Amino acid sequence: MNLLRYIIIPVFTLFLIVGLNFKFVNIPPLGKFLDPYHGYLSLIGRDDITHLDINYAELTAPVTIKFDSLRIPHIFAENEEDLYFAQGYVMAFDRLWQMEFQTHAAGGRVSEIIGEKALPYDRFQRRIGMVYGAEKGLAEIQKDPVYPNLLAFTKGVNAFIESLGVNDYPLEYKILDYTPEPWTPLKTSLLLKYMAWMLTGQSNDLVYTRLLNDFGIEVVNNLYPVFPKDFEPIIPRGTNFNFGMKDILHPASFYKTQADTSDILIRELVNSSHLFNAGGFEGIGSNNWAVHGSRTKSGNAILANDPHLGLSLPSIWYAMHLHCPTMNVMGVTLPGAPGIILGFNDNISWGFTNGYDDVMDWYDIQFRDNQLQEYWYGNSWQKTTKVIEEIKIRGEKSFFDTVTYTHHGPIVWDRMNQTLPGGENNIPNKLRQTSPGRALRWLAHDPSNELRSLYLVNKAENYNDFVEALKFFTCPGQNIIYSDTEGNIAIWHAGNLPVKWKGQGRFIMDGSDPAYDWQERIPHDEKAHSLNPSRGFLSSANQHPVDETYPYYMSEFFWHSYRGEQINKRLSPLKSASLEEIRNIQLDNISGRARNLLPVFLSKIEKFSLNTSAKKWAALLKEWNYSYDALSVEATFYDHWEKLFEKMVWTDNFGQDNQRYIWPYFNSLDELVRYNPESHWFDDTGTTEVETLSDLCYRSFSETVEKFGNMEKFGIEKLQWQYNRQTDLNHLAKIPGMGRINLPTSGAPDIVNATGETFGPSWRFAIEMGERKTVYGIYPGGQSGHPGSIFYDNMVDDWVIGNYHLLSFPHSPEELTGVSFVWKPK
Amino acid sequence: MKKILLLSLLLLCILPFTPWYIIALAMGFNGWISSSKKEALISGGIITSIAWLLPLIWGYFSGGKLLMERVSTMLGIPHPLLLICISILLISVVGLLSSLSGYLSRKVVNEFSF
Repeated sequence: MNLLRYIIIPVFTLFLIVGLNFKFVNIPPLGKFLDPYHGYLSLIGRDDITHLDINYAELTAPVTIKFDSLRIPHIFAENEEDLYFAQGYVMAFDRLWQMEFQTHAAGGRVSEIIGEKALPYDRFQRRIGMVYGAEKGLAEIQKDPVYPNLLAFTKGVNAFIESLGVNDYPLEYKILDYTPEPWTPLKTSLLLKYMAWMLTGQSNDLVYTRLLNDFGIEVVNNLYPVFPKDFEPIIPRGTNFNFGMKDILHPASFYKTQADTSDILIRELVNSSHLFNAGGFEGIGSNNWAVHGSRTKSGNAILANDPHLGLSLPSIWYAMHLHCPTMNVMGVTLPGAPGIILGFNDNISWGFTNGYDDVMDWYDIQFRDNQLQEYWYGNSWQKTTKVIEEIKIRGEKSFFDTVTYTHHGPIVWDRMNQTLPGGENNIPNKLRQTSPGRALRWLAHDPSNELRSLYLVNKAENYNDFVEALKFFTCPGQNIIYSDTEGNIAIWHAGNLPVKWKGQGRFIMDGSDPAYDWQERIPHDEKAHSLNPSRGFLSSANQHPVDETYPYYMSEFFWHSYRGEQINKRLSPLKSASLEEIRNIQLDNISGRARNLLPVFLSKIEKFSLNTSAKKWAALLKEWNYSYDALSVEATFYDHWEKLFEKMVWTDNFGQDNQRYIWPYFNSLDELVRYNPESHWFDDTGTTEVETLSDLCYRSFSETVEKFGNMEKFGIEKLQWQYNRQTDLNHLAKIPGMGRINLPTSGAPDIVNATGETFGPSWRFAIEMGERKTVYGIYPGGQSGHPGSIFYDNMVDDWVIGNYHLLSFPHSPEELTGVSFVWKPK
Repeated sequence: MKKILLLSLLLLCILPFTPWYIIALAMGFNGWISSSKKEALISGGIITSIAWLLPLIWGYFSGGKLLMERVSTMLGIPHPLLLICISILLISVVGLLSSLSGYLSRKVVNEFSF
């Protein structure tokens, strides 16, 4: 007994020390982490660029790196290999953890870091064929002259990783308690596929099939139209398409499958991942435009671009300037990708918006038996391929998952609830995932080499080079805007898109009939594009790229053109535009939805007797300029009213949005209100009376007045948009304290300044071309990925209020003031 | 007092090159050579506090404030100075328990004549 008295304290102490050395749930290993010698405090000063004062044997010639006041690295090398090596090294210096974590997320390897709770997410990533696609992409790159550049980039990243001691590992490694591993070319390929998923992973096939089965084709065509009424396509109307559609097999009869009642949308599935900022699809979009030199004050073409993506810290983008005798390019890239993705060089500038093409289709597969060894296709049994995926789990045995592949692609689910994050109980309203036995056809599974395309764009000297470069751009399809120093402007709907018969891929298809396969690709010169149109400007905002005269069927879904219309409305009157005028369109907060609907709404409530508070709000809204400015109280009121009205119109027929069905797109509601006010959709089928548009307008208005009347007691300024809809920049791994939240942004989805709660303009960029370029840019974040650095989030506040930074584009290190280093070969 | 200063200095010199839990071994030794339980506890707490306090304070005033603010928020601690206090508290608990363990271990050896 006495011995026990003596032993209990040492044993407890031992347990305490061991406990403090290991991560427990979300708590980092506190002993290691708080240790001021090796823990988080050892990172003080680790973001100091003086750490880059080094020499490397891998270099063949000296490399000069100069940092400007925003800490953007300007790298001057004597050849491309050294340039990419330095890019890899410097990028890893600032963003190593982000680079690696994103590729773990892409490749379904999060369980290795955070344990079993990420297993469903990892299984999903593997089962959609993310690694399969990345390996195919890498095989293409390996055959290409750009491969040595990727290898040099990889060497650069690894040289940085090798230079690190345990103390130097970025903060997130210490919090999550793991270590970096060597970079590989496959990781870069995975990153590109991850981006492809983010931009093309919206699949409506299942829900459209269900709508078709439950409501009929007329409702689908009317409420989910391929071509909305009055939309403004990207390629100006009147463009002559002097070619016909390629001849492909059409099915003998229309295949209609059962969309079983227990399905769930893919996007629901992905959005339900709460493990980290995986990024949903809502709010993903972008704007870009270019104005011909003939319509600008200086005579130079002007280009602007702001991609709207999920926002996080560290930021999705990293700004760089790369210079060598064969290349001089600047802009932003994804941490982990060599070269520049969005930017400009001496001769051209370019920017992307998402193409929104339907490059993800689902096929019913008829298997011979439940072994899934053979499937019926083209009147014979075809063999499947089995891929065994090993998913390593932190602290546990690996999980092995067998994925069956058909020639269409992987069978994502071969039984129910296979990959649901959080398990079955996590599903809203007991909805289920896509039923088993369907194959996914996704363009990103095809061999492709977007790196070559980007490399050639980076080096392009003129329009012809640019067009040639886009031949290699496969997925994700993008609207790529162009301007050059000659004053030319152009836009291409780029991507290696399949030729589809009208409506192909809109619903789940028959996997046994070759007529449902993707048979041909749209020839490069027949891709939708425009060069120097007579109107003098071009723009895109994720709307349908072409009008009905274009011979090819593109997709069942594109965003409505509210943003596109507003951009064109702003650009049209400009005859002698300045860069500032064109740039400031990015900050336009006018709501096209409000402009279309509010006058109708107000006219409909006039016939009702309104109380004092209601009259006051109606009067305020009558004077409102439809601007979702941060200080606007009208925006808050209208937004609530509009959402409530929309809910009242659709809930009785379609239930909650994104559950059993998706609600019709907003432009359909807009069209009903303005052009079909007697529509039966305004009747609430849950009541015996027949409701009208006026009834719903009044009902939703009254409820909003009541809600806001109560809130007014706290002061009308509390109703400002900035307090009622804020933007959060969460940390990429959702680590508390490492993000910036509740930012008082202006704007909203479907507005040019397309901010949302967790997404928004991830990079605002505007450039005036010419011999000397004037370039503005900003993104919500900072160059450094180290949370302890002042450059971690130094651009956030300026981004919120719409300020820009003038970017330096020196032709030699001497033209720039800042800290510089010269790396010499050892 | 001399022992406290000496061991604090020793820890300040070796901790930059060793894992954090070496502090427990050092305090175990401290307890072993302590003449009373009280001395073991007090000296263990003080030495470990000094060994962590100095670099923490230095870190705070030499560019670590921002990082400490972020880490504080992450851990749900309202102020970085409180984070310093909690860090000190944590390591001093480890220190005094280790020191006490060292003291008790010596007692066991003496009492049970292993």
